[in-house]
Amino acid sequence: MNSNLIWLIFTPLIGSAVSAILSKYKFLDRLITFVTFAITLLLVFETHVGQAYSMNLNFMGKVLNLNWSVTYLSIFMLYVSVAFGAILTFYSLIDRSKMKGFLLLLILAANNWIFTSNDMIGFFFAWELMGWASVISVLGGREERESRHAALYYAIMSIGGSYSMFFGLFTLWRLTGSFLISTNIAYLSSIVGIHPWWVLGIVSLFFATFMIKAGIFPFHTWVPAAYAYAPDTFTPFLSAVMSKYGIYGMLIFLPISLMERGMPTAFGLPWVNYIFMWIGVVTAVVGTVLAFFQDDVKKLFAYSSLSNLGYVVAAISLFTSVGVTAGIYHAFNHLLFEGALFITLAAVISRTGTSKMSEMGGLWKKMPVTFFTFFIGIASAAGIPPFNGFGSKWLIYQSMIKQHLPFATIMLFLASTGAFMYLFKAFHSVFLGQLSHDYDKVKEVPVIGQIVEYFLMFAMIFFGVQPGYILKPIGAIVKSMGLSPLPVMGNGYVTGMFSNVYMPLIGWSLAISFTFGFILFFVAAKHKYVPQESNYTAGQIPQDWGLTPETYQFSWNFYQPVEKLFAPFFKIKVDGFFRGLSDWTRITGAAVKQIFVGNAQMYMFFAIVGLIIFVIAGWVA
Amino acid sequence: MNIFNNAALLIGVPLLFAFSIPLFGLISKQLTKWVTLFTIGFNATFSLYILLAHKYPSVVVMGNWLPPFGENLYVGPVAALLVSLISVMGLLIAIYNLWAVKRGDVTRFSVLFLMFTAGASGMVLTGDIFNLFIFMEITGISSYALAAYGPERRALGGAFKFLVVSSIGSTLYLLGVTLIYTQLGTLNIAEIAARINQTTPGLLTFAGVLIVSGLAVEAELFPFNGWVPDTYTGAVNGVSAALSGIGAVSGVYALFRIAMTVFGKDGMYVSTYGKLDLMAVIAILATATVVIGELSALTQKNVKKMLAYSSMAQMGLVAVGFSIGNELGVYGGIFQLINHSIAKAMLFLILGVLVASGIGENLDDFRGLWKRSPFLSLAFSVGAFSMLGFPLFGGFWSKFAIVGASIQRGGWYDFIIGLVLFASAVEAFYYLRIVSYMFSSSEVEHPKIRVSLAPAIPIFTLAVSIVAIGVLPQLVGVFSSQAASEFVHKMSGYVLNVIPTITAH
Repeated sequence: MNSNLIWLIFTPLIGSAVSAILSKYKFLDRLITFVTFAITLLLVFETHVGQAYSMNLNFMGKVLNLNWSVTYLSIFMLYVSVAFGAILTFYSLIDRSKMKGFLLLLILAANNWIFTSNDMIGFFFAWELMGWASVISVLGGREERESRHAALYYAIMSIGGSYSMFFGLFTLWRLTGSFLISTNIAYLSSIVGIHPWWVLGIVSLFFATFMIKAGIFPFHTWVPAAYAYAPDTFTPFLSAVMSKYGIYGMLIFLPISLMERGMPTAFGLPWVNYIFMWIGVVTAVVGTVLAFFQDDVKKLFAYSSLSNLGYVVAAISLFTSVGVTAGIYHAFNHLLFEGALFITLAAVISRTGTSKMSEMGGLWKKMPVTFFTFFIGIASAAGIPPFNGFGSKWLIYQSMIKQHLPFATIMLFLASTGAFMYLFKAFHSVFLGQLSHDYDKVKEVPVIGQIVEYFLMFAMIFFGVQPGYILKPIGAIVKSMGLSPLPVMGNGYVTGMFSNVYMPLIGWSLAISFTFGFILFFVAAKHKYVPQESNYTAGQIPQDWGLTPETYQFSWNFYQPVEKLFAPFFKIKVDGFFRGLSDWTRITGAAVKQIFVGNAQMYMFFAIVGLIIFVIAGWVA
Repeated sequence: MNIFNNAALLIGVPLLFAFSIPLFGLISKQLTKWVTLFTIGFNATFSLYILLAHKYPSVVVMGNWLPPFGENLYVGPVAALLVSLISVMGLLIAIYNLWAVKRGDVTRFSVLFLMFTAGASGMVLTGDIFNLFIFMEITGISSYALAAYGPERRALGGAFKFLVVSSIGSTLYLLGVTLIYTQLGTLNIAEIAARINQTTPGLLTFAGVLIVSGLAVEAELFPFNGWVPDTYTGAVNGVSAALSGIGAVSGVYALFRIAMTVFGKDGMYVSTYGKLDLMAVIAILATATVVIGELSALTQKNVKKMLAYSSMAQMGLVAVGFSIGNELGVYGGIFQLINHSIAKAMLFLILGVLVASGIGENLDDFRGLWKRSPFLSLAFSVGAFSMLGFPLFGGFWSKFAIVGASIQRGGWYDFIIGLVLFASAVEAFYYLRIVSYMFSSSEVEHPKIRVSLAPAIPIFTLAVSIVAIGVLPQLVGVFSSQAASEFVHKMSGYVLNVIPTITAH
């Protein structure tokens, strides 16, 4: 019995109540949010693997047992999520968006509950709480109408997900009579050999929920709108932390291991895992392709975010030691760089007031710290050593190749190449190129924001060159799942199946070659420096060509050839399915409404017809 | 015998004052509203005393004629809980009416409101199948008249539809009762329940179908619920609140008292005697009601009508919970009944305040409400979240229990609950749409809304109780699980408490 676990949940709840009362005073609200996150982080330091707590609740006239226990996975998730939340809320002290601190704290409470819960009732309750609080958080973005639509879309998807889980958990309860997650997982593992299809059905109910939350194809459709139109400071949390709930859920259920007997295999994998791997790959590719064409920079990174989660899913679905390691490692890296990117975007948007790339440009001199953070962020996202995204992508490719999956690997490679392209587009359109006159007076973010950005830069480089600090705890998680952990030779090494990479060495060699390149650049040629505002149209006047400032911007139709190449594929819209479903519901609703014609005779007629049908039914029965 | 142990006061006192209100009306019209308030206040205090001091189960007999020969009231867990709910809701709506009912015939409104409450309490308390009819008629007739109250023309239309459909319902019910009486020669619920298997199966089935169809009118089940949208929309908001907070409670009670206690067969899941399983019939009706209600509400632009359709759908959900027929399901049904009663009444009261301050009933009128009245919009959001089962609000626990119970039962209930969950997603959409409208900003700056004290008290109380139930579900859960046990175990829960000597045949 370790009652500190319950305080992990109660502290944010108390903070949330206080901050809700004080929500009129924005700074105070944000301060309380940050302080609560910091206190929760201290509480996480007091949390250790193996701690457990249970509580009896009198509900439905029965005793309901709520259970909490800390596993290697949960402690890892707690550390990274709460630490990132603390950084984000520290940044939010200077933020002016309509993010509500008390909702974030409600999500934190749910976060701690989800990661430590060992019973499905608590898990479901926390999941619902998290879902609803985040739906309401999405309301109140910069563009009201869009954010309302995005929130409603997200709400419906989220409800669909939680109902699916609802169904799953009660079905398990019907079978085992217990709500304990560990009991149910053990039960499923024990019958997977006998009734593989049953297990598959039940697990899919849960996986649908997790895929919706993580935004995995074909449930990715809510992601771009919700990320783009959420309050700018909430988006980092949505992308970095909240998508991990889905990954966490999948990791809980994976040890059932459909690789057990009884399942047909495909390419050395149980075919369920094989399909799931392809779902991950398709997510990665779809996210990448769609990211090309966005003009809204937050939307672009929303697609980037879901594409990276596709990598994670592809890796963990293999359920080999290198695959799971790579997946969790990439999930961590995704949290770090995607969080950093969205925070820098929040900084840029707070200064420029727009998220359209075609309205930005040339900001790097105005906001140098933000620029460098963004630069390192996209370098990480693209998987350039020695920044933090490299090691995990490298491990993912290894795990795929080891499993002899050449096509999937090639697709992932392509997605990665695509990632370079769209990341460069964002980089160039926001920070390089011509500076618009509107932004002459733009300043760097306040000191607090800069501190956060320096810290994130440091973290991305540190975990890039010292991956051992992350790989060791991941090794423990992998071991607790019953797989053999990858050896960790030292903090600087990423150890794969084929070879080891000593990250500091790569870092130094790259640093030295870049320095050498810069020296050559300065020594070799003559440079002419032009002001940022000057045009590059070789004397032509853009207006003569019918160009507006927006279409004249570099990012306008940035990848037109690629766009043409992919144009046929855009006719297939997954989104269309959900839209069609909602249209169908609305039309049916309008039709059903006609039953209530507002005529007393008709109502009487219905009643009589109903009665007659029953009487006949009684007669026949 | 201490007179204050006599639950008959819960019916007698309101009726007495209802008929003496015209006398008070001679002094002042305002006085009649206060008399109503205090009378229902007495009822609320007394019934809460019974509930909280655990003065049940008790049988109240008239003139020392023991059941089955005399007429009796039975105060069991169900009656104690529901009569408290009815009285407390009545009290809160009476407080609201102090402010809302100003024009027109205030005296008669007060008479009718008292009779309505008395009738609903009587329906819940009575142990006699014919008295149930009488109280149903009292409730029904006073509610037609209440629904017609107000300056608007649509009120008359709504009330008329209610009258027509409801009188068919009463007739069917009475026919069913007659059939049973011809077979068993008794009207006492407990005795009929014990001897129900002695009847001819064909006749029993016919009687059951008639009774269920009749009671489905008040319980708002499709296809007997045609009156719901028009009547709820037409009536003034205080009356709509009373219809959903009080009338629907007694209607659902009557339906399941008959279906589960009278016709019910003990088992792991309650089913009924006769050729047709009435519980299955109700389950199908209830599912249809949920789906049709939610789908109709989806495209509705008039918020009051939307609430009316949602009321219908929620009553369907309640009936789904009951019709599962095990303790968990009935528990969920009763819990949902309470949650719906609280939340929907509150939403109607809020709507009443809004309409009075010049805001229309349409969805667009809700734009920017947060700026104009944080109190009302917060309360409305609380009600909406409870409706759609947001955790930390009352509705979560009841929906949870209903879904849990039906999946536990399995079989074709999996299909039913799938439909119900689909409908719930639709419901979530339209409630969230209102909430998001309230928190969006409007183009035009409107003045703030001042809420006077009389409507603010009930709205505040109800909102707080929703959150309290959401955080501490035991508050209601303890009572609803006792009530569920009374419904599910008909012999030990009901019959043997009323007539200890009887044996089931």
